[in-house]
Amino acid sequence: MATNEKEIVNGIEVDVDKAQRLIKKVIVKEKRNLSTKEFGSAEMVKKIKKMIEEEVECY
Amino acid sequence: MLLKSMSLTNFRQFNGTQSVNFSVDPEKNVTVIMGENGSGKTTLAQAFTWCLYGDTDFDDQVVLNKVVAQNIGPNGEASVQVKIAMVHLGVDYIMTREQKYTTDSTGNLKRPNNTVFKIQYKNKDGQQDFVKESEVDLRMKEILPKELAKYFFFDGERIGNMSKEIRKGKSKEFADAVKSLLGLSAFTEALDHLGGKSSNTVIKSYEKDYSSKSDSKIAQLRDEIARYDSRLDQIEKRFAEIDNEEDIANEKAKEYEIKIAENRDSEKYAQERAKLKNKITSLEQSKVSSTAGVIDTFNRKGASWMATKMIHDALKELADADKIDTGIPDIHARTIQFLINRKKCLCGAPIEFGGPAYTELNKVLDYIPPKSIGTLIGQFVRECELKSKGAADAFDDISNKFSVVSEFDADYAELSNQIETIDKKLEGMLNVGELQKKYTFYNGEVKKLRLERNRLSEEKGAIETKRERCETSINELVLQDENNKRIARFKAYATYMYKYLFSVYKEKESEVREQLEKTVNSIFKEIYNGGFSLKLDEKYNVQIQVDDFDGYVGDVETSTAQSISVIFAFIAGVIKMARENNSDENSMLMTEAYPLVMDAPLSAFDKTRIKTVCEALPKVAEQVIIFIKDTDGEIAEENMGSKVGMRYLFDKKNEFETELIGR
Repeated sequence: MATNEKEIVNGIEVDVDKAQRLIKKVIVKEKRNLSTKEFGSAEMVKKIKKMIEEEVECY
Repeated sequence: MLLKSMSLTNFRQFNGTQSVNFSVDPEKNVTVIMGENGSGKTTLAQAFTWCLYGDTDFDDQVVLNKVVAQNIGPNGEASVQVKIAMVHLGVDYIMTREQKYTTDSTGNLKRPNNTVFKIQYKNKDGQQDFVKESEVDLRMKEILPKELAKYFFFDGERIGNMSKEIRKGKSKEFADAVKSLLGLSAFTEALDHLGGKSSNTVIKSYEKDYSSKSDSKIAQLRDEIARYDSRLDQIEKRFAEIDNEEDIANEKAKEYEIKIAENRDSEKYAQERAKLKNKITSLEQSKVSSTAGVIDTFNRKGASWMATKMIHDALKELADADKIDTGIPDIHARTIQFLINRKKCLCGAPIEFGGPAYTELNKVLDYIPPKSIGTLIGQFVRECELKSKGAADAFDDISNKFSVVSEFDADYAELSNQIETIDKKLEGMLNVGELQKKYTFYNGEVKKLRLERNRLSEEKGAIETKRERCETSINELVLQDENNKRIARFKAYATYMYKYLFSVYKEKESEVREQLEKTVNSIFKEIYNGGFSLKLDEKYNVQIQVDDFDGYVGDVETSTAQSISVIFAFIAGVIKMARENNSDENSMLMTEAYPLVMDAPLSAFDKTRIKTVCEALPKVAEQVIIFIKDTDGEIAEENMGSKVGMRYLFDKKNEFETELIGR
């Protein structure tokens, strides 16, 4: 359930619900990658960045 | 991780290729491999560690079968290979390690090259693929870290070292490995990728993405941050070193403190011995001076003393002899000679040469000094009296000094005996003074390290504040540019995620540790029914505590059976938790079940404990593989017969050849 809670990080407003969704997604992705070893560290960093950008820019 | 099979080619006693399949049936998850002493149980157990990590505990590093080695002939070659098939996190793997041996022209084995390790797996399309050569060690570390492998490939006969290791001094790697097995690796991976120490993390990558075109100050601040980060990195590394050095110094100080207490008596004995040695020295000096005294007294007074009787007799005789002096009192020869030379007497009468007065006076010369016999007798008497007086105490003097000399031997022997007894007591004891010096040194080191840590903490705090100021300035500056503003938003989310995950991770880690402590304790109580319980510290060191003594803190010395139970309980606890976490699909934790491979695990237990261990292990571990000697094997099978899925027997042909036979 959305709480619309906001938190200020480095002077920027962060939507806590979005951030929590992102955390779940990242953990699932990491869990999957731990078994498949499909992606290396650099690729995982790119993937997480992409996940953040998509989630943050989605209104 | 489940072990499916292992095949060995020319590995030590196993000539040719021989295979063993392990039971993977969850209901019958035990594989028992039985054999007499020396048949190859330990070799087979060691084949696991050789295959996965290239290590064995054997003194003889040549793993090639001796019969094969002998038959190679000159300039030939032969290979040793161990292949393990396993499933890990749902992926099928085949690990292969191979070692080629070649011979020289005389048929002797040459020094072999490095082993070749390969990991084959089924990729997501179901095709067989190989892990890149450069990544095989890393992949193996992810599947089962070497730090932990020895606990899963468990050797009952080397329990002493393991017990010590599990109870103290475990490395950070060990704690990390346990955390990973307990399912925290998804957290640590996410944290590493978001904001770890590597130069390529999500947060650092966003910082690099900022365009500094709009403001050169941003680039300048970023450089400053990079400098601060590099120093913070150095400080963190030094912190880890300091922790390690402090542990070592503390341990050493403690070690010397114990030694000092153990050798405290040596100080007392050493003081006593010094006193006795002083006594011996003064005794020796007294002997020397008394001996010299005896000789001196004898030299000075000996003759007089021995002549005492003769002097006494002579004086008596002289007294009796009534030798009247015929001389004129107080007249000396010089007086008479003067009168003769003057040719006139005292009365004025002339003294003529050859006259009667002259003749009379010359006669007188014979009775007066120096020729007077009376005078000589008088002098003799005086001398005799002096000598008698001087020799009077000579006997007592010599007797006293001689008694000191003759007592010396008895006293000296007594003191020497006492010193010898103390020396015997001191044998094997250490010098407390030296120990104290070392104790003080290590305590001093601890103090120095603490001071250094405090100084670095202050520096770290100051740098972090400066770094934060730079960050704030960057954050303000980037908001002036639209593109940078966008990146700053992403970075803010990444930062939030990192901080949130970090706090959750800390909480989970401590929860998991507490849960592990409970699990380990419940297994320990099931296996070892004594008044002990186990405690885990932050480094996952196990401490054994006595339950019945309130207020007792500290570790307890344990017997072999207790030690082996502690290790069983710890490993079984980790395995059980891994298994439980694994079954919860929604859990943020992610783990894998692990097998227990045990070589001679029951030899230290009595019958009752063998029963409890046999009942407990198949319940907690996903898979159990036991190498066991025939007598223990019968008891083990009796107690977990319904759980045994596969049975093998080592058939020892000779010292160099063993065959594995299914039963």
